[in-house]
Amino acid sequence: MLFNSLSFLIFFLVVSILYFALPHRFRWVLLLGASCFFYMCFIPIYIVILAATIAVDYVAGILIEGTPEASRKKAYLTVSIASVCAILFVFKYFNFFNNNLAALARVLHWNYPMKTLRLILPIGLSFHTFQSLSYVFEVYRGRQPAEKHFGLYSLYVMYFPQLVAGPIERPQNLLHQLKEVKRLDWQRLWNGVSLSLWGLFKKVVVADSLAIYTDTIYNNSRQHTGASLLLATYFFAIQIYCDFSGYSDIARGISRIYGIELMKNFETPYFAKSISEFWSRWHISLSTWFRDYVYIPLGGNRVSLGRSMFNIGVVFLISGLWHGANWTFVIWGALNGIYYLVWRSLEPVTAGVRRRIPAFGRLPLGVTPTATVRPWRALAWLRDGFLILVTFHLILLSWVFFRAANVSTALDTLRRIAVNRGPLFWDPIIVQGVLAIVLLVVLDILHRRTGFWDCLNQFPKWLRLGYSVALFFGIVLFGVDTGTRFIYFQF
Amino acid sequence: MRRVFLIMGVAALIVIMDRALGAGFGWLYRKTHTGEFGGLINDALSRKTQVLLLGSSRMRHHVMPAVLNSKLSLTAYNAGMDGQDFLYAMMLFDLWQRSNAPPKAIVLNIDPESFERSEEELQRAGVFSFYYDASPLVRQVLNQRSRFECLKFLSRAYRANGKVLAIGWNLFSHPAANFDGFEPLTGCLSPQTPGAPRETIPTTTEFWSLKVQCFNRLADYCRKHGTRLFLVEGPRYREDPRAHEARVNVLSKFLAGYPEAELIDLCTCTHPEVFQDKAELFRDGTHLNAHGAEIFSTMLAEALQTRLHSNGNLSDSSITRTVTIAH
Repeated sequence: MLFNSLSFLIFFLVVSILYFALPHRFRWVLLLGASCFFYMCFIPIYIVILAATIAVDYVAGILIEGTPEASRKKAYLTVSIASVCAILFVFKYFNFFNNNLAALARVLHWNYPMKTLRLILPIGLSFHTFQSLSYVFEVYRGRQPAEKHFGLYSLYVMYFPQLVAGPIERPQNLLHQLKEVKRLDWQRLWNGVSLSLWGLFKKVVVADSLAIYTDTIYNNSRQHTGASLLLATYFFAIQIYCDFSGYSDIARGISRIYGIELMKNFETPYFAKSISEFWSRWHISLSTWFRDYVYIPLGGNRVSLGRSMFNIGVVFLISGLWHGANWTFVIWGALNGIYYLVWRSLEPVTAGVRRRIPAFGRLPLGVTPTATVRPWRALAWLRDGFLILVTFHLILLSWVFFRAANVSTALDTLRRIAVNRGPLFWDPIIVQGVLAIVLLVVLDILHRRTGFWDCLNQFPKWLRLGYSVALFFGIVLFGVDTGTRFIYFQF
Repeated sequence: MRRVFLIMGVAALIVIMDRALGAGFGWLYRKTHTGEFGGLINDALSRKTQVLLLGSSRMRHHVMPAVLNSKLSLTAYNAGMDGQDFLYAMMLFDLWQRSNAPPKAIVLNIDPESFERSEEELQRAGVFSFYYDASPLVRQVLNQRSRFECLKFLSRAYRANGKVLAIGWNLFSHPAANFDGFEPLTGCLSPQTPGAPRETIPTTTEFWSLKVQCFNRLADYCRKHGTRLFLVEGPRYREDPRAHEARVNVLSKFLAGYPEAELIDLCTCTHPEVFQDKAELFRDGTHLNAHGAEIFSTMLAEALQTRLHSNGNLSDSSITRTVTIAH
């Protein structure tokens, strides 16, 4: 059951009506039941895997909290991590490592008898595994009391709006909200519906339109010219942003209706002026997860420069592998790690430039720039524009590896973009795609300057209503109606 | 109470806007006569013709109605469409026969694979969404696209889904005065191009009940109105004879239950002297270029002439099955 399907709308309406009709003490049962149903709509038997993860971490949390000895706490934590990671490894990474070992054995003429497993990856496995792990880590660190209510803990892991593609929540943010009494709030309802509509618009109007062109070109990349591949790569950059941030917005919007605030996962990432800023704006819940549970435990930046750089490299490599068991994702992660490290080593230079050209945003509000300030303002705009373009294109390069089926195809795509001359493969969907991108950029700028989604209540009612109705009809008229899956479901 | 009125007001506003947008786009859509997002359907429905040509791109780019016209002295219109297949042909015919007199002949270009279930084909049937209320067949096909499709069609604006830009574009382009549906393809294959790969050989075809039902309706119509129904197989570049044989066998077996239908086989295997290794006649592995189309149209016209004038009577229903299979 996909968010962009009518079946989900019906499911959501039924759950919402029941949610507000039921007394508070039964609501968790309803949400848990709905979440189980939602998950079982994909591959029913895989609920067993999810249940195993939940059971292991629930018990681990209680044991960790109840043990005063540090070594025992660590042992319970290790068992918990090993168990859930073993599930992740078997379903997601076993074949990748096995195939690579088999290839290595062939080169070395060794006998390697291990067979490939024929398993379908459970939907959103990496997401709920990480969410479950974050609970155990937080209990271990003493920042979260162990949850004794098994049903509520299960709901924390399985909460359907964010079950299959995040945001990866922390127990401090979600668990207490699941316990609080929520009343129907019309303002919140309206905000939630508007945010969900915006997410759906990004998914079905922008991402799915662009996907038509991107898939056509990338699925036969060797038959297309450099110009077509370049356009498809630009389109993919926007497609993946709208696909994933669209999902996150729908999840946040739905959850907001129930009175549960999920964390923001995207903050106009393509307006980032550096790689580090990009990663603080893109898939925020995962970036902060890696920061809190991998980078900081490794020593963070409170170690020598060399060690700190090594830590960053490790984080980006794991991040690449998290996205998929394929060398393309490893290279994608490594590329981003290299960008990050190079950018960081250039930081003293860029900081100097920044000091000389004060940013426009730093002018006090309400101050009209004088004749002497104006040239600086123009320079600051130019500088920011240049940095945004450089950052965007570096990320664009890495998306080629993310999208390509394998490394050789990715390299061939890059080669074709650089040297292959020829006409652009024309498809009428390009027009819709370009118009949708223009609209998206305008709305993202509006959002960036006014914080539209965060202070929706401050805008006049007619404007909010008009905006939501326009989004609704935009989806009805321009949405791609083939029920395509969200890209991040595969992770 | 105020809130209830507000919600009702918003709901009413959405319904009114939906109706208005649906009616407005529907009106504009019916003014279009070009474009694959529906304009060509409108054009086909407005044509009175004696020989109706239906099918996919292999009909649209292969058969020149002008050639049939001069050879048979009958008006012809090519309603083939790129990227479409059997369902498109059936829905178009269902709409066409509602406002036109029965044709003398219907020529259908299909492969055995055309009878299989195809989700992609169902999605592409969305070009008929403005005709949802006009035909039960269109409704039946469109409702199969997803479980709650009939609910979606309660919205009038939904009928314009994915077509708004195309409508805007096609409003300002008009077909040429002598447009007969045929679109010539330019360019030709390199003689080094290999033929169809082995994997394309059809072994079995699972006939989809909806498509069989559609074909039954077409056959009934032809029987009732004395219309001759021809299924035509066109050439492929360097066609594998085994693939051709398998394809024709599947079609012949299926057609055995339909005495009013006849298969005309004008493939590379049956006419090697015309098409074998003639790269200059093909635009790609499955499509003829303009020159190839002219030759193919002449061959088809001659084949139709023999069959339609066999007893000097155009409405003669006696049919001779002349399928030649090259071994």
